[in-house]
Amino acid sequence: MSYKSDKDLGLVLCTHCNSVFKVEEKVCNKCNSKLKQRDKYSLVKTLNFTIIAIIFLFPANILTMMEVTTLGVIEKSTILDGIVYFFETKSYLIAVVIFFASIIVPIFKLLVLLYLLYTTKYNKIYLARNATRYYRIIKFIGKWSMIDIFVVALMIVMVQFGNLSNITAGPAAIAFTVVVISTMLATESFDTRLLWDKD
Amino acid sequence: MDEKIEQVSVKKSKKIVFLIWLLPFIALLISTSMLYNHFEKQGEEIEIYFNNAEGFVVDKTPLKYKGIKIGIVSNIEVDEKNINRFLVKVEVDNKALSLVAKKGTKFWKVEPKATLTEISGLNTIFSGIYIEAMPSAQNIEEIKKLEEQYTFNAVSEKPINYLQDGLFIDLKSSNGTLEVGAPVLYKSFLVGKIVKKNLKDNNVLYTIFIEEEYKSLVKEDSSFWNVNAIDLKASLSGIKFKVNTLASLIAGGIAFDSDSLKEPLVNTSKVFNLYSSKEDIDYLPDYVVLETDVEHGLEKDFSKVLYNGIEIGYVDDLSFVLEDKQSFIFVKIKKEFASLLKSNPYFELKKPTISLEKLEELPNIVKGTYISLTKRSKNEGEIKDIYTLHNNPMKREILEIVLKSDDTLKIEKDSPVFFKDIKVGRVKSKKLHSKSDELRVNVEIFKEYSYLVNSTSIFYIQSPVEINASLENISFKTAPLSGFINSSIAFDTKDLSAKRTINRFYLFPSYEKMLEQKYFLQKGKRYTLSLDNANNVLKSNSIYYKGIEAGKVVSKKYNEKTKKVDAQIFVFEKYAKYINESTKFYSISGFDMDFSLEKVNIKTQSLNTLVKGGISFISLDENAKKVKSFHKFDFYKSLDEVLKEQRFNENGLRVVVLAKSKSSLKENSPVFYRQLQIGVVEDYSLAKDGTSIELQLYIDEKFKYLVRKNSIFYNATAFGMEVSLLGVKVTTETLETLISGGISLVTPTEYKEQADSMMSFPLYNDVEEEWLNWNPKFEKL
Repeated sequence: MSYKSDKDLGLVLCTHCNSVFKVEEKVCNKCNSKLKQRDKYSLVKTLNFTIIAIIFLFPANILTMMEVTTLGVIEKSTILDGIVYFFETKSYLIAVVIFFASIIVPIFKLLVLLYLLYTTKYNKIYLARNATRYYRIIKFIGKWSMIDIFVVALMIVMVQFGNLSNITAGPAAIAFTVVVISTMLATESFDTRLLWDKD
Repeated sequence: MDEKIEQVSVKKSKKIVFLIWLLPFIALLISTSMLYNHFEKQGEEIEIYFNNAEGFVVDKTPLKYKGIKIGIVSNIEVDEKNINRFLVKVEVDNKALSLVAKKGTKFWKVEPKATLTEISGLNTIFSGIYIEAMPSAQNIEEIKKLEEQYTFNAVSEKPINYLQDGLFIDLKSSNGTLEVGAPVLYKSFLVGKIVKKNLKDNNVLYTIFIEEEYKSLVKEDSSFWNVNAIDLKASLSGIKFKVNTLASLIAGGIAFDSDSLKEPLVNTSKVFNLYSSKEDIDYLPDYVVLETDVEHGLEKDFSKVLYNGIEIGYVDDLSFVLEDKQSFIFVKIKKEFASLLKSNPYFELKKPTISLEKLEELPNIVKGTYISLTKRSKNEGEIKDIYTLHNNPMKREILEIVLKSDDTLKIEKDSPVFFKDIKVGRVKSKKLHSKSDELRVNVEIFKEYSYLVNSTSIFYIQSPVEINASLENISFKTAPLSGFINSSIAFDTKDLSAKRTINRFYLFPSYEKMLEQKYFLQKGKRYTLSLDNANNVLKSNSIYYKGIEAGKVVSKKYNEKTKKVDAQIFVFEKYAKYINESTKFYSISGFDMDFSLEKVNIKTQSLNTLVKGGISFISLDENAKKVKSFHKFDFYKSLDEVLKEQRFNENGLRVVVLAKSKSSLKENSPVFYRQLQIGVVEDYSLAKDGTSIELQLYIDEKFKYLVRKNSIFYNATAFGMEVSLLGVKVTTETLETLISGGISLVTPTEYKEQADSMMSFPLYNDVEEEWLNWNPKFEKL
């Protein structure tokens, strides 16, 4: 690899105003933010949030996402039930959207995160370019992965007819939220610069 | 400085790492607890066999216990052994498993159900059907002791929860008109309901549930009856209409009543009788069985048993033994009349017959055929198993008499016999006398009234309404109502102290005839009148003496010998003494109109006789010889005739005039002198030689001196009519003579001696003017 990073040159980059300082500088004299050459705990934090996300992925898919009460009959549905329901009712687009937003995307994000951790930890520089591309994807879709919770929240607000028809969020909604938030946190806490460090 | 900062940051970082590593553990904890909670609720599956799994949806149809969801249907399969059965697997919540998966728990399907008495499971219309569970014990401790069971057979309908607080009572009924769910009422207040109904030993057995708080209302002697929603009782006396509770309107219900002083029911296994109506409670539980071999025409449930007109029971059932042609009638008698059964009762079948004689029993006719009960003894006897139903009335002590009649009679067997409108007997039979056409009516007079019959009794047929109308008054006499269709017999006894020596009486065909008979029984004499023509004389015409009724015409008969009609009359003793040989009878019928050109003289008798006519008599000589009864008298058309005859036969003068033609002269044509009537034409005949008409004139005694040997008679009818240029001159005596005719007498001024009797005179047709100027002045001789 014929490139030189700030680390190689003993410099530090202010991530807020893109000014470059000597590594000794602790505070950016331009924007007054703290200067760090590398986040030491980046990998740990990402790993932890990834683990948390994986843990909560199970209840999110097994437990009830939404409880629809119609005339006293409670109908509990998991995420998968919802997809099956929309699929059965031939709302394929919605089924696909939910399937992606609720199942494919979180799993994809977690897989990407694990891949990033692996490449970083074991210093696979040759994979860094590829990994960065993935990172950009998950960062971009990160803010859209709450779509499921958004649908549920919207439904709860809209369908409140007392005994006639009523929708409440199930425990899976919380779990799913935790999954989404922790993947986002994992993504945020990953310091992409580490990918390129040639130790 | 730098070092310090670094140290600080390192310290901080360690904390962060620690905290970061803590998070996954917390997450793991939370996640596992969430999952644990979820799976812990999942519970176990039980299996229930249903005969009908219609409406069950896997993962949707819940299992409920008193409305709380405790499980969900997880699988439905067709039973391998019996394809009409379904194996429904139900996932029961873990907590409820210990409640439900126990021996004896009952499961049934709840679905919308609408029967006459209840609409249940309505909620399932929206929520869908569900399975309900009911454990076999009432409290948790007991349930825990029960064996575990995971396979059940569903029951077809909601079982009775005998564990409920309250009272379950069995009622026995002969019919099953009530439905499960129908209300149980105490004083019209809902205290429970029918929970079960089944057939047992030919009886319908109802199980009713009385709620806990009303349990004490049921006593040992409570009586239960079937409440009909609409209680309609219609009789001639009125209509009674009663509607019970609305629920019972549809499905009926059970009501009960108890003696509030009694102790509440202890033995709940006692089976009570369910009476078909409240009234039934008043009846003896056992039947009274009547046996008969006649066609009875009784109707089940409708035919009544009467005692003295009071309804004491009804026919509840009938049976017929074909071989013996015996009918058995099962009768229910009211408890309060039970003692009648001990007094040797006489049961008589009474059939309504359409005869007015029965009209007084009109309510009974409406009741239809009924059974009448009569006490035969006052002492208490034994109750028999089977009584005989008699077809004939009970024999009473009676006095039998025979009535004879030659008229047709509208009386029937059983027609009543009245004495002053009180029934004192009845007609036993009616038959023809074996040798004549005389009708013999056998009559039974009840013993207690036999003293009323003696030799002075007069029997007559009482027709429904007797209208006795005369111009003086109109009187009605009506027989009792029963006399309206068939006549009845009535009698009158003139003297109750008289003795009864005869057993046969004459039966008068009407009240009038009887009165007539009574009339003729008075003291009097009979005479016979000889009439040319009986037109004006009616039977029952009265005989008057000086305007007072003195008797009656008894009969009229044509006498072949005399070619006249003989009318027999009856005159009271009181007036008969005035009748002697000089007595003349004359008609006072109608009105007597004396019509002449001078005047119209209408003479009428009393209004009564005006219509009916009558006969009066006058005795001209009080000292004349008495006549015997049945003496024949002549009859005169009027009093005038009598008087005329009287006059003519006296000392008048009879002369004969010879006329060329009879012209308008006839008997009784007047003879005038100076236009004053002095006599009449008594008779006329053709002269033997045929040359003239001989008119015999009678001149009254007072005027006979007017007739002289030279007197001239001329026909006053004839009139002269002179036609001249000046006009027409008509000369005649009077207008009267112009029409009725007459003879005028003139005597010359120089008259001669008196004319002899039967002397002949010529009758001139024309009058000469000279004659009218004659003006003799008689010296009375």
